[in-house]
Amino acid sequence: MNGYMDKILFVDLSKNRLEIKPFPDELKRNYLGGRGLGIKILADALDSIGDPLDESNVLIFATGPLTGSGVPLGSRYSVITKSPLTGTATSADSGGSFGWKMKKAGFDAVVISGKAKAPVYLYLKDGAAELRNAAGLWGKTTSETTAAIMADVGDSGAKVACIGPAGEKLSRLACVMNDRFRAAGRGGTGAVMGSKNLKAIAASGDLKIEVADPARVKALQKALVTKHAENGIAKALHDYGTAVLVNIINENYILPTNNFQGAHFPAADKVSGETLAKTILKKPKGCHSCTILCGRGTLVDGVETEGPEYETTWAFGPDCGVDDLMAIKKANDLCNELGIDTIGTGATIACAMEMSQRGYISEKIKFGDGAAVVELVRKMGYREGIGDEMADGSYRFAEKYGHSELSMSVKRQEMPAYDARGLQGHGLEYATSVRGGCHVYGYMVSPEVLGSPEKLDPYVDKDKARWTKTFQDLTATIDAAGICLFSSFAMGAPDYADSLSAVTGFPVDDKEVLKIGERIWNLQKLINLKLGFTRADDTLPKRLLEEPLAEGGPKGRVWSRTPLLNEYYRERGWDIAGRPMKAKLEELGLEAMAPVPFAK
Amino acid sequence: MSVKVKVFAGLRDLMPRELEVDGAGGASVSALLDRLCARYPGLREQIFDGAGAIKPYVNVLKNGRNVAFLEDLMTVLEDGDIVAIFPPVAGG
Repeated sequence: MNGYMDKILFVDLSKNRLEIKPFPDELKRNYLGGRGLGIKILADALDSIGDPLDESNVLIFATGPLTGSGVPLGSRYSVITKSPLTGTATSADSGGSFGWKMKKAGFDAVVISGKAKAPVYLYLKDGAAELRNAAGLWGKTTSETTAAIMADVGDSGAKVACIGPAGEKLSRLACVMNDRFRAAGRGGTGAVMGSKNLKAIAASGDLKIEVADPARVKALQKALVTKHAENGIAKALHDYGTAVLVNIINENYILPTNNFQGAHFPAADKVSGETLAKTILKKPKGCHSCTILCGRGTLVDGVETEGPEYETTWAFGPDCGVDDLMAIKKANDLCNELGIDTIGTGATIACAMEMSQRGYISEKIKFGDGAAVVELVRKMGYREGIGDEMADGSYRFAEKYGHSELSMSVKRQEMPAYDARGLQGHGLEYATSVRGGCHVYGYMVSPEVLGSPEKLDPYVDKDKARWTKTFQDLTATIDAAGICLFSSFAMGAPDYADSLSAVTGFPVDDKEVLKIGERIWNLQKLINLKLGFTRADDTLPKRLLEEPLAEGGPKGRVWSRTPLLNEYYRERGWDIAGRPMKAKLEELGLEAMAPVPFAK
Repeated sequence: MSVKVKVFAGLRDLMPRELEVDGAGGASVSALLDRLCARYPGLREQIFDGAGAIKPYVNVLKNGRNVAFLEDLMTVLEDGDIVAIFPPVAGG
């Protein structure tokens, strides 16, 4: 089928064995690729997987049919595994050029199992693959690793996805970094890579990515660029980056501050996208085939790097009470070098600050101390001192001291930069997210704050279950297709159907687009049920359920769990315990994964 | 007494990022926006569509609440209110 390289590489690191298999058409039609393919492979292997950091876990790098296809924003790849942070199935998505290059090197996906006896990296080139010695790379930062591998393979155009010291040290917040500044950030995928002694994957090559209808793809390029330009959103992202959100979220009084103790930060503008653009921005940067360029090429003291993005700015900024953009920038750069998730790291530091504020730990870590934030990032990445305890995330850290209620997490994964007490739909997305607290599995902020595709009242429950389900399903398809989530600010299900049909040659309509996403979502849910997750896990921290917001529009509000959750389960065709019912599983072709006892 | 107006992103190229508007208390959001549009060229095109409604991705907040869920353009302002105006923005 067009849009695919038709090769999946299976790597057994324990046996030092590499095997290339074709990509079955049935899987393409039901799961597309990317997150969908990875979740399907994970589900099939689930019974043999133990602890996420055990060699029995599998780690999948997967592109989608739109990755590198020429459809604008088609740059993405996903990393899928059983998460050491949450214990759920997880997928972490990233842009840059690595996904595109994986396909140019001849592979749609790589499935890694086992554990190498000594550090290795995997090299993909022109449809072939080999494992190479990485002993000399162990301990190196992500930029050092990337440069060393590019030199080793003798290709300045090679693209590298790797881990830093945090992944080697099995931090459950460790991420996979590619193209130096892009992260498959959440869920601890970097720790799984480290547990397998796999330092990196590098890709070289220039194989052609065939599309079924090149003329139609070209026409789509033009149409989608026009759509992005028309709604004004693309311009804001280009001019100010994702941190343009700092002010609008703050002015809505839903910007979590001091570990969610407040939701408004008076100094927000000092760390906003507008301020970044006026101070350290050198030029906007984009991923492969991007027409928006939301990335920030930033220049500080003569050194050019990228970022910070919005969530990072919030995590090291307002959530830690910090209004110093330079401290945020330093923390961001350090995370990239050490290979550790900025959201989880910042939120864990904020949690430690509140623990200190309340006298639950002896260390003095004060809200507002930017220098302390930067130093704690370093300690977490290298597991030094208190950083060793914090490196596994806020939940485990707070629980150790008997105060897990101060972890602002869902299923042990830290929530990002939006307070659900003023966003009933987004709170539902957090609570029901099948990979734990996250904003990119169904971004309800879009209708509830930004007005896209239409304005929904953020304080009311009505219709939020239906909207959340639709956003979650569509996002799953987007991730599986290999296209950036920001495409959805201009594209709807019919546009994705058009793009997939033009690229693969297999006719897909808008209903099928949503059905594929729903299948992926339900399969992830079924995996989690099998792993022991229940309705009780679909919730938010006690603070968001019981402590009302203190000021602004949402003053007095908490997140209203029960009515939202009940309606959501009904909307999904699940029972009151959150288990997919027979009819839904049959509709999606997932009967074989039915939970036990079978829900009717 | 007055109403405080704050603008963000590209609107800052058209007008001051923050200003006090005297006499806006007791009047509607519509009246306030009309006054601002008369004073700052280019603002009207950014905020309003051809029919005079607030554009789909433009958001106007009164004290942290989107006026779309109050009385929209007819929302009445009081002295001391803070009105925040955002052009289309996104991220995540």
